[in-house]
Amino acid sequence: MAADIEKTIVLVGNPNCGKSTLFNYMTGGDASVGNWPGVTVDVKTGIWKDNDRTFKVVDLPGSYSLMGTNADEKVTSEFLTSQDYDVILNVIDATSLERSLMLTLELLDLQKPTVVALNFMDELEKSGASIDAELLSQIIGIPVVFISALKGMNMDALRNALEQAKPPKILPFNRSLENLIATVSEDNSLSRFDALNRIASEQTQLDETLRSLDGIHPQEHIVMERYKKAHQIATEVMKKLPEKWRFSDMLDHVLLHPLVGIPTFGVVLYLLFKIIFTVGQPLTDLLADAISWLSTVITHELPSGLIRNFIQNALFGGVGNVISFVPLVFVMFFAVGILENSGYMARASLIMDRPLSRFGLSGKSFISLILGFGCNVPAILSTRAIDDPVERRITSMVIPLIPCNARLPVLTILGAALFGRNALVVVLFCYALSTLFSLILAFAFRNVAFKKMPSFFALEMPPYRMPSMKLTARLAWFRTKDFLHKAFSVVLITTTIFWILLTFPLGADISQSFMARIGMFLSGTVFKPMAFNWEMSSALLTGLAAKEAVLSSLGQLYHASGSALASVLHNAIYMPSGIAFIVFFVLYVPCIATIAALRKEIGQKWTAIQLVVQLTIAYLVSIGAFWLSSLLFA
Amino acid sequence: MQTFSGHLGVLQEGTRAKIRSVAGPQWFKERMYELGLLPGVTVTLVKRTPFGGPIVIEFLTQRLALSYKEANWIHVDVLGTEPQ
Repeated sequence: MAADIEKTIVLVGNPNCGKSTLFNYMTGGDASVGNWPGVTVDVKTGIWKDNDRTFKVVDLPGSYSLMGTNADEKVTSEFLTSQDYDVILNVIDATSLERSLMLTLELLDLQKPTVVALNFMDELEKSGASIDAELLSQIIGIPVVFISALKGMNMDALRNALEQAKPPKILPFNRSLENLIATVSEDNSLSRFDALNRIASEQTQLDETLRSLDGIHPQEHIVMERYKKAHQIATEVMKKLPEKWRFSDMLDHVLLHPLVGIPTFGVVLYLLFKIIFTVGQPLTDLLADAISWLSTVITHELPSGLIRNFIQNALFGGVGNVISFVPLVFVMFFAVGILENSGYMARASLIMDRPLSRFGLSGKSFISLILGFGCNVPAILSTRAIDDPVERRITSMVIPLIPCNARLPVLTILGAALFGRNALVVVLFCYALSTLFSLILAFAFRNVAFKKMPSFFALEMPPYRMPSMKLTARLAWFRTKDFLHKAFSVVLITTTIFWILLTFPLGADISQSFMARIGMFLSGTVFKPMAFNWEMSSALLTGLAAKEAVLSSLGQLYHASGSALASVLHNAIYMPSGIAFIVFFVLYVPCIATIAALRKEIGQKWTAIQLVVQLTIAYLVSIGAFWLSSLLFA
Repeated sequence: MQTFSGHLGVLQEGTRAKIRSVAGPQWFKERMYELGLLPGVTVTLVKRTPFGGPIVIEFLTQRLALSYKEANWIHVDVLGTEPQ
């Protein structure tokens, strides 16, 4: 067997360069995994049979450098300097050529036969650039082959290059460093690579020569030299694809035009909403119907009692409610994904950056904030597109203040109850109020909590391109699944608690339930300044489960619904306290699903801070509204 | 040819320039280093947006939008204008 093996090939490359994909393609996934002595890092070995040739292939762990100190990089450099092999196959991610070349330059100093495989060229070309492989090969003096590790493209050319690979010529550093290398390797009879390593680790006694290296640490000097070279090479071999940009520039001329661009942007936003709610909402309603049908079928089979009550109200009512959000969340992720992949999202951020920067946000948070008007949950999840972690956190923390769709019916009924035909004015006022507070809060978070990290906008502008439906759908589904997975446990626990509060003590009327008692307690204490009655307090509590639940609870407690509820409320609620209630409702803590999403995105601590801050704002503004309206209306 | 030097943010669309230095706080310099905007790199101002919005620059075949304020922390030497 061993006699048949022509050559031993070692795969080296940065993490995620597609090296393992290539290895699996070559070996058909048939590999023996061996741990390198002392560490738990895998070195995989397999056999590559191509035509009638047989090669042994070794897949070394992903590394950025051979001078690195982490376990992966140590294994890689130790293998390359101490083991027997014939040729190094350096896999490069074409989309990050400059960084990848840093490792390539190190490999060249090993003076072993080396071949470069350029992977992900199609990705690079999508972003409007290309690499001149022939020129690159000329500059670094070793063969360069385009491949697609995923599709196994160009494997014949790769095999030919590997078979004919020769040791590379030296790419010299500056003269003083080259002199130092020559002296160290001669005095100690070391290879070029080992001499460099010794210089880098300051094990040389050549103080005088060291001083000629700008007086900086020799390792830093070597890295800087390599960086300069990598940058220079990348500049030379990277080519813009003018045909990709010509069309893109034409579109930008229109879409970023001061007069045309902004209205177009408005239309795109409108369409985004339109699509999310005309496609997502009916599907969500359908799923909700299906869940309630299933609930009826299943509970019908069960004997009446506590268990049936629990399954019906807590499991199907609470958890089912969250599951019914799935189509809406998916459609949102899909629509936003299309905007991202087409390149328009980058332009939208560009347009909105200036206005938002006044509030400590940047253009990148705009889409997330807008989505918040639909539903806070997907809006918070969409903040993942923001790459600055501080801005992502701030955006997530202000989204709950933006009134979602679920708050609309509640506001409409309450507005009608208090102001009759002027309900719409009330609704619009509430929207303006909460949007204003979300921006103020963003400003406050940026200037108090994250003072040391100013907002900053730097965003890559890709050329426009036709988004792939399949890829976008796959990504959207992946994000949706992730959300479901994480939100599930939180929702299950809370709905169970709410069910207990509403159901016990057993057999009593709803006005005797724990929930009602808590409502009475709250009315007598914290809500006393606003004079909320216990029905209002209990309704606010149920609003934690879902915002629209406030309406159904009020309906249950006042035995009315729809316009009848409005007129009942009109007589039952004291005007200033009703106004304070609306204000409190608009601003107070978000629903459980939103809290779960927040916790998932920004962690427990910041979620807690967010909730305290938002609750405090709601409370104080509500008291203010009570006083003001007492003066005006009473 | 007479060279003109100034801040990146004030260039006309289509102007090519070479980065002379990057000023501003440490986090900004670090971020610029990560992005590859270093002294000696040639950039072209591709697009300005109205009302002091971000500018779009091109370097090493990639395009980057950068806020106006921070763009002025980058000092450049003007090389010339690209044919439109």
